[in-house]
Amino acid sequence: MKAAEPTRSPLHRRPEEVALVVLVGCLLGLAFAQILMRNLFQITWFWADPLLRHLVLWSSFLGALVATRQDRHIRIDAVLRLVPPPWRPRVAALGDLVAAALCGVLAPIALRFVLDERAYGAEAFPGVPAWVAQLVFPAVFAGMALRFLVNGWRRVRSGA
Amino acid sequence: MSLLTTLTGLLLATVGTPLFVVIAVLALVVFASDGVDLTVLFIEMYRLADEPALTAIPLFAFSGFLLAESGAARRLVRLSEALLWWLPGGLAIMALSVCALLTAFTGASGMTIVAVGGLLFPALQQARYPESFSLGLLTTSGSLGLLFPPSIPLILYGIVSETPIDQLFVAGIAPGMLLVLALAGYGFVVGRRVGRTSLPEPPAGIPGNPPARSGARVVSACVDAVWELLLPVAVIAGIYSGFIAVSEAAALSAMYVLVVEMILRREIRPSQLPGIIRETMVLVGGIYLILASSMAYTSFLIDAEIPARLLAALQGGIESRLLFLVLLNLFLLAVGCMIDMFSALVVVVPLILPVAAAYDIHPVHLGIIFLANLEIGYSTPPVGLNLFIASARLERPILHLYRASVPFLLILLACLLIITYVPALSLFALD
Repeated sequence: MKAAEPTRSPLHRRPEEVALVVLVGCLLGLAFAQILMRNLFQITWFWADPLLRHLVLWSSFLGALVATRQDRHIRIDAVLRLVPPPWRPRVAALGDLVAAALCGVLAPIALRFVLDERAYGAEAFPGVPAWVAQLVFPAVFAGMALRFLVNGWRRVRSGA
Repeated sequence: MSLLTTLTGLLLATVGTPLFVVIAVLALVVFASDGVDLTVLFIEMYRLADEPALTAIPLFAFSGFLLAESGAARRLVRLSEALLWWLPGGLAIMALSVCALLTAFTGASGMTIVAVGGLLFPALQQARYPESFSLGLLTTSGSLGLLFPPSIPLILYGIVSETPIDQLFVAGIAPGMLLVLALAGYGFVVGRRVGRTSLPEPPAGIPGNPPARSGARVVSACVDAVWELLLPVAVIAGIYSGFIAVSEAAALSAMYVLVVEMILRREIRPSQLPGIIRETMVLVGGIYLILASSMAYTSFLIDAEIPARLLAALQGGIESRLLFLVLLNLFLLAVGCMIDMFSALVVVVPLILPVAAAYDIHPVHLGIIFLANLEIGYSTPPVGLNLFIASARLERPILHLYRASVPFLLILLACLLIITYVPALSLFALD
């Protein structure tokens, strides 16, 4: 587990991390406000629950994108630990390549899914069509494909 | 065909491809060979946006990460030290209790060892506990407490198996206590040999610390930790009373911890929040992606009637429930030391659940068996994750940790047998 990176000004943060803070902030704020409204004022926001679940979906996919950049996805590296150290980066890079290929295959399928849904015209929650909410799938898979490539390249070059 | 894909999957998994990739490749191959439109993968993934309990996971994880970054662990250590200084092994028992309490909130993310390892290891060393004992204790404590609410693996099991989460929360308490008490007993035995000890110096950074072994110290430590102590009580009472749902409890505790640690105690600076949110979402994102890619895999399993076939194959050879449970334990221990808890739950539960039902095992009990096994597998050599985290955090060679964890594992395995073969321990409190 890595320690938190040194503090940087908001302007120097990556856009995905700014987005994460906003999404998680909304998640917490809305979840809390909803409980207050229901218990104190007997007001139920019927759009709040689906919106909360989408906030979890979006922030989790963004989190996965950050996990890819930081090379922190959950993996089984039992065999990798047995590979002689000089060979390890190359074997691990092979894993990255497979991951990049898979994400590269999934991104256009995700896009096709989004276009299908657009034609179908369902709503994720009042006012927001489902296909807009689902754009996170192609975006994150495309982003992860690139990042896995970069990770693999770095691993081979640095030999670590 | 299916054998070939399985083998490819295993190979990919063991060379360190991220687990969600392995699962997604399997799903992709299976669906492509059946000629199904591949957008089905995303139809299944999007079903996660209909899952209300999922909201609880990021919010509880956020509370856990906030607690780990704050001085909560230090305060809990100080309180238990003030309470337990007179007891042989008190320091060890206190270490166990603090770890269990924190892990219930941080899940099995390794955060517990990272957060308290640096505090408790030197304390145990100074109190002259044998080094291997201290190492083993902190390693196994890294996942101790997973059976206590509101642990994230319990919630995840509830989601995957469609078992009521509040029932799991009730069922986990007695088995979780058994694990803690058994290790505490071991701590007592070792502590008697070491002699009566307490923290050698008052923990640093606490102004106005009254002298050790006084009633005043207990009171001041209690007052000091009162906000953290109220949290588990409020969460548990809220959920059990039926007053709030699990996801609401998660929102309330996240808000509570945020207000306490940032505004009342000022231990978390606002500038730390983006980092904590990122750490939380890296963990949750990893879990979510595995869950997302396995949605399709699970529906394939059910369509292809894999659990039913597995059951048919098993029932040929295994007639008794007891034998099935023995095999289940062995299988899950192996799984627990190979892959992380979240993936294990997501991948294995849908496979085993129908089979276990046929052997008349209550789904809530099955969940407790699952988590107890995985919890122990986490510290089991050669590849239990806790061992590697402890090795990195405490700066000791991994082989030392293998040796150090053995007595703890034997005790935990004995408890596992009790948890597995005495269903009443988990189920007595359910209606």
